[in-house]
Order: sequence, then C-alpha cells, then structure tokens
Amino acid sequence: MSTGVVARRTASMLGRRLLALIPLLAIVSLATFSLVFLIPGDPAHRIAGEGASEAQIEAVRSDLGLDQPAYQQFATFIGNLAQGDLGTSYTFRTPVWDMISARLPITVSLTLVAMVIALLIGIPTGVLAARRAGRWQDRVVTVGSTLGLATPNFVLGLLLTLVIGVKFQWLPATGYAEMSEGFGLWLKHLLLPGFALGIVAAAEIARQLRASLADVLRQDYVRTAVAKGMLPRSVVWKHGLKNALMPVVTVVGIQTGYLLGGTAVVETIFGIQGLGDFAVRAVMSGDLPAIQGMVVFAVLITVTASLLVDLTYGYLNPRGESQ
Amino acid sequence: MKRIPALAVVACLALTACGGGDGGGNSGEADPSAVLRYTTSAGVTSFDPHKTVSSSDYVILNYVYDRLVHQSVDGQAVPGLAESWEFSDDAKTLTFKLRTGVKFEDGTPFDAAAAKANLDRALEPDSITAPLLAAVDSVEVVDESTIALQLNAPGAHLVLTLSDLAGMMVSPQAFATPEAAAGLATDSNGIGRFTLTEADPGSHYVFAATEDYWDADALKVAGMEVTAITDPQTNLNGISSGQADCALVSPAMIAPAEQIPNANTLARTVLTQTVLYFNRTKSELDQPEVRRAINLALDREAILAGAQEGQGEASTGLFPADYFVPNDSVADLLSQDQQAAKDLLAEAGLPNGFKFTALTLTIPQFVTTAEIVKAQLAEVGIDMEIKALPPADMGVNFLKGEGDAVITGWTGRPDPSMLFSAYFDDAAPQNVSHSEIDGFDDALAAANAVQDPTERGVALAEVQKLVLDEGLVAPLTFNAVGTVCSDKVTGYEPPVVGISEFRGVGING
Repeated sequence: MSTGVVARRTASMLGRRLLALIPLLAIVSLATFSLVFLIPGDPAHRIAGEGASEAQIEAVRSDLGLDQPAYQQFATFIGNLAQGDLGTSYTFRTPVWDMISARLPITVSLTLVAMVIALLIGIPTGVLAARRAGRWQDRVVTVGSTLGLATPNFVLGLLLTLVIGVKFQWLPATGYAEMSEGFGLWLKHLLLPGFALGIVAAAEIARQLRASLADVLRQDYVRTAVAKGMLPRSVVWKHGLKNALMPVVTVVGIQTGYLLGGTAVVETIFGIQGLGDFAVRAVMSGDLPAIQGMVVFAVLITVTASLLVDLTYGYLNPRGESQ
Repeated sequence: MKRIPALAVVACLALTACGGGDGGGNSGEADPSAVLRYTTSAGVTSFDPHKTVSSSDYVILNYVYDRLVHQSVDGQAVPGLAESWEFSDDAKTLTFKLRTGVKFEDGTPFDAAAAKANLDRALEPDSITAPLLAAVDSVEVVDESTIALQLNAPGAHLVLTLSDLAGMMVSPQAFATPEAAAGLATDSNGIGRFTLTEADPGSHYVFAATEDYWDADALKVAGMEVTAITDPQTNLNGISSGQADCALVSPAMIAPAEQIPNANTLARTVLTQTVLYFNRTKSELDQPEVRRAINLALDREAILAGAQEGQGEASTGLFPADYFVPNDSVADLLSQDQQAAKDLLAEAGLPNGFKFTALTLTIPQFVTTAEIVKAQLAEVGIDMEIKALPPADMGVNFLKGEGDAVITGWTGRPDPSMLFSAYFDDAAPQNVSHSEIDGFDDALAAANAVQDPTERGVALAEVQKLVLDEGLVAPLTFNAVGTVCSDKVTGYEPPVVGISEFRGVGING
C-alpha cells in the first residue's frame, strides 16, 4: 500500500474523529452544566457563606446569573466554553483555566513518570512471560501482574511513602519540585507517586503484551526467522514485538484516562498540588465552575489520548483500516 | 452574623484544624535567611479581609495584614497597629492611638485617615465583618495618629473583635476603585511581617519577609512557604521526611505526631468546639425541657474519648475550663444525669421519648461524635437519626431548614460575645431558629460594658447561663489543636484561639 493511501486514510480517520468530537463535547457540556442543578444545596448561599443574609445571597445569585432561566445559563456556559473560558472558581475567585494551567505541568509530569515506569516494568516483564510461556517466569509475572492490578494505588502509595519516604528517607515522602529546580530533584519527587500511580498500568501492559506476544511468537514467520538462524532475542524484539504492540497501545490509551483519575488519590497522599488535588478540593468545597472545568478538561485529555492511539495504530499497522 | 462558612469548618475544625501563636518556647539562634515551610489544611479564598466570605481566611491573612489589636497566645489583647486604646467613661467612645512611621506594601503611609477608611469599609453591608462591628456608629479622625469609634452601645468586645479580620488594615489605594478592590481577592496590600510573592490559589503560597518590619522580634525568618494539604497523615509525613518545618495537627493525629523523631508537637485545648445545635422551630425541640434533657443525657467524656482520642476537653460550658469566662454556673446543666433527663422528658409530655434528625459533616470526627451521641440519647428513649452531608452543603442546608439539629464545629473567636451574637441573636443569619431568649440583649450589653477581664468574664458567664438554662445548644467537646515542628524550629507556642500566627518563630541554622 502506498504512503499516499495511508496518509489519506489517516486524514479521513482524523476528520471523522474530530467530527465525532462535536456531539461528544455537546453531551459533556450539557452533563457538566447540569451539575448545577443536580448537586444538592444552593450554590449562591454556599458562595455567600453560611452566615450571609438573604440580601447578600440574592446579590450573589444575581451577580453570577444564577437567577436566569436554565436555558439562558446554559447558553452563557456554552458561549464561554467556546471561547475557552471555563468560568471563575467560586471559592478562590480565580479563573478556572488559570488554576488548571498552573497545575497542569505538575500532573503531566506525574502522569508521564507513571507511564514511563509502567512501560519500563510492563514491557520487559510481558516479553519475559511470553518467551517463557508456561514456565515459572511466566507464572511469577502472572501473579505479580494480578497483584499489581488488585492493589489499590492508595494502599501502595501509603506503603511507599511510609516505608521509603518516612522510614528510610530514600526519596521525598511528600511534595513536588519543578524541573527548573533540577531534573534530579524533579524526578526524585515523582518516583514514589509515579510508581504508585503506574503500577496498575504496568500490570495491564504486562498481561496484554504477554498474551499478544505469545500468540505472535507462534506465527509461521517467526518460526521461519528462527529457522533462518536469527537469534531468538532479535526475533522477539525486531519482529515479534512490533506486531504484538497493538493491544499495548490500546492499554496505554485507556490507562491515560485512568492515570488522570488516579492522580486524585495519589496527589492527595503525596501532598502534590496538581489537577487531582484540585479536583478533590473542588468537590469538597462544592466549587461548581472548578468541577465543571475539570470534567471538560478531563474529557478533552481522554479524547486526545484516544486520538493519538488511533494514529499510532496507523503507524503500527499501515495496511489495516484504522479503527 | 457572617461566620464559619463550611470551608471554615473544614479548615479549622476537622481535617487539621488550626494552631500557632506568638513567640516563646524553644530558644536558639535563628537563621535570618531561613524560610519556614508550613503545611496547613486549606488555602485562602480571598486576600480581601473585609470582603471575603470565609472567616477562616484569617489563618493565612494574618501573615500579610497586621490588625489594630493583636492577641497573646492566651487570647489577651496586645498592641498591634494601635499602640494603645481607651474607652470613655460611658464606654461609648473607643479611642485608638495608632503606630506611626509604618507603611503599607505600596508605600502608602499608615495614619488615622487610612485606619478610618478601613473601618468604614469593614462596616459596609456586604462586609463579612459588618455584623461584628454593629456597635460602631461612626469612625472619626481625631488627629493624624488617633481615631475614635463612636459607639451606639457599650463595646468592650470591640477590642478583641478588632484583632480579627475586622481590624486588618489594607492600603486605601488597594480599594480606591472597584477595579483595584477586585484585585485584592488574589493579592494582598497591607502591613504585615510578610508580603505575598507567589500564589497558586488554594494550594501554595510563597511569602517574603517585610524589610524593616516594625516588630523585629516577631520576624525571624526570611520568608514562609505555605502549602495546603488535604490529608492529615500527609501533613505528618512532610515533617518526618523533612519536606516541611511545621504542620497543623488535628486531635486524632496528635499521638502519631508525638512519635515523629526530631520533632516537637505542641498542642493545647482551644476555643474551637463541637456542638449539638438545635433548630427550635422543628420537631419537639421547641420545648426547653426537651433540650435540657438532651444536655443531661450526654456523657461528654465518652464522646471525647471516642471521637477525639481523648485529646481536648469535654465541655463543661461554652468555653474551656481555664478560659476567663467561668463555667461553674452551668456545670450542672451539662453533667450526665439520665434519670433527670427522663424526668424532664416526662415533664414535657414525652415519657416514651421522641425522634429527631441531626445533620452532621461527612468527616470522621463528626460522624463518630454523632454515632456516640445517638447511642447515648437512645438510653433515655430519644431516637436521633443521623444524616451526614459534605462540608460544602451541610451548614447551608441546615439553615435552609433541613434536619432538626446539627452536630458541627464552631470555630474559636477572639471575643466570647462574637460567639453569642453569631448563634443566639435573633438577627444573626446563623441563628437557625431566628429568635432569641428574653434578656439576652440586655445581658450581652451589660457584659460588653465591663472592661476588666475578670469582671467581664463573670458578666459573660451570665449570658452563658441564660443560653444553657434554655438549652439552646448542647456543647460537646473542645478540640485540642497543635502544630508539629521539626526540632530546628524555635519560638512556637500554640494559642488558645487556635489560629497560627508564627510571630517570633525562627529556624536554627
């Protein structure tokens, strides 16, 4: 298949995906806007403070347009959203986008480190299990990955912070250092939370890779390559792995959403002021614009990850119709 | 009165509460270049002390805004931006002599005109502090460094009231226009030990020490970094692993904090308390006998042991036992006597008890308290249903009429009259029953006419007796609040009001 055909298919797929984003975002917008009405309590009273007088509560309601009909509020919400305006935090009187963008580098760093840890653990162990399918190494990886999947990240996070951070003090137990303060310092602060966050993804990658690679290694072309004298290691890493990576890419895409969700717990345990911590605080304080902003943002991240996965399919399997 | 939004409850009572105070304690040579890294439970919602909606903002605002009056760790009024104050003979004029030679962050000199502008703003109807200053009719500039508050009622309580948000001084330039005032939500402009240099709203704040600060003894570090951390255990982990110098400690975390090597935990019973507060328009709670019966049915020591790990104090009144308002006259009203409780219920025509619903916060300390209260009330035949709501909703929903009572936290206030006014004055928005008992106003006014602390304590005890004779509330426990600091930190003492100031705290080199 020519490069041009592949490019056209990819462009067509991208176009369809972007078109599909429109109804998706419309539904998400409606759902997040509805939070105003679904969450119990009076947002105006909550913002004005428990001890506010009725006049003060009504003033807040009017200021924020909460006294307008629902359809009008929705139109304003959508209009603002279209301009990238996620509203202003009820609690901190700061634009939600400013608060999200300030925390974004922190959570991106954490997610990135978690994913790298997941790949560094998941791929070698998955390959090992596939090459030694049915032997003790395979069973060890299977048991280990099951444990990884079954261990909640808050349990692992607490164990890591108490043992490695507090007892032995090998790595920081809490906090975050910006990369501008030094790459080593940045990485040291992210290793424990990254491990706690990435271990589930590592286990899932190992399981998926083991299954697909074991299947690929039974294919004729692999046997032929071995028969022609290629070293087994070369066969696995050069021929087998690329064909077995499709499920792994899927897992990575799906896990991006899970990792983003997992930051809520991990950032709380490790005292990191990222998007997960922001989401927890927004929910605890009933800060609706912040909650809405986080939901919209999380959906965009998840959709983008999904799109990237589709593009990667195109690279890994140029002959196949992208799904 | 506009006090204790839900956020304040979370900030100051439940997760890690509040602690801190003026200098003293450990001695040592402080490193003037050190930065104090402090972890607390919540950020600041606004840097505008008069227009914020959260009274708990004081926890951080006190670093950047000095008040006319400051507090000692024992809660006594000491000079701040006012060097001295005095009442007229009829207690209807309160005159402050202001400190001279100090300037706001923007270079504007602090003088009587600036102080008047601030107090006028604090009196505006949309100010959180206006209800606290209801006794102030007007503010007059006497001379460049003297102001006089003309009062419509005796105002002994105003001195300590002005040690809180109401007395914080903001540069008049910062609220000269509405646009400028809007900026105060995210940046400070006051006179304080520190200036805000960096803020990630709600989570992280960096402060730099003010050059030539007027009270050099109160400033022994080059700056502060304040981080808001949700999880109390994470707060402690930061101290254990050296990522923080000081952290707030809630009652349940005092014992674990004391186990941290190379760190000191200083805790004390503070004014912050847990109460069962009644909506007297609901259920059978409109009868004083019923409310008194509930007070007599409760074993507060058991609540303290079960919900607060024994840390703090079982309530014997609306104030801790060593406070300047004596509890002797109400102690019998709060001592457990199940037979007397049953007799009172029978007297109210409820020999078989009754049922009511109490809201509480979805926070372990409060849920546990509610469960214990429920079990104790069941022993006298009262069936209390518990409904736990998130902090953001609980208070608001209660004030809207949900539930018959609430088990919640009341933050410590610099002056006892602030507590009475907030919950028992018929005009106070937080008085859910919107009514007050006979003689309340007169008793409070009488207490506010007395300036001598001991005599005033006795007068305030009269107000307390009125309130508890009617069983308007069932005080349960007082929080123990503390701070754990690494052993390099010097000069820390926990204050009775329960709010950190870290005046005079340093870090050894």
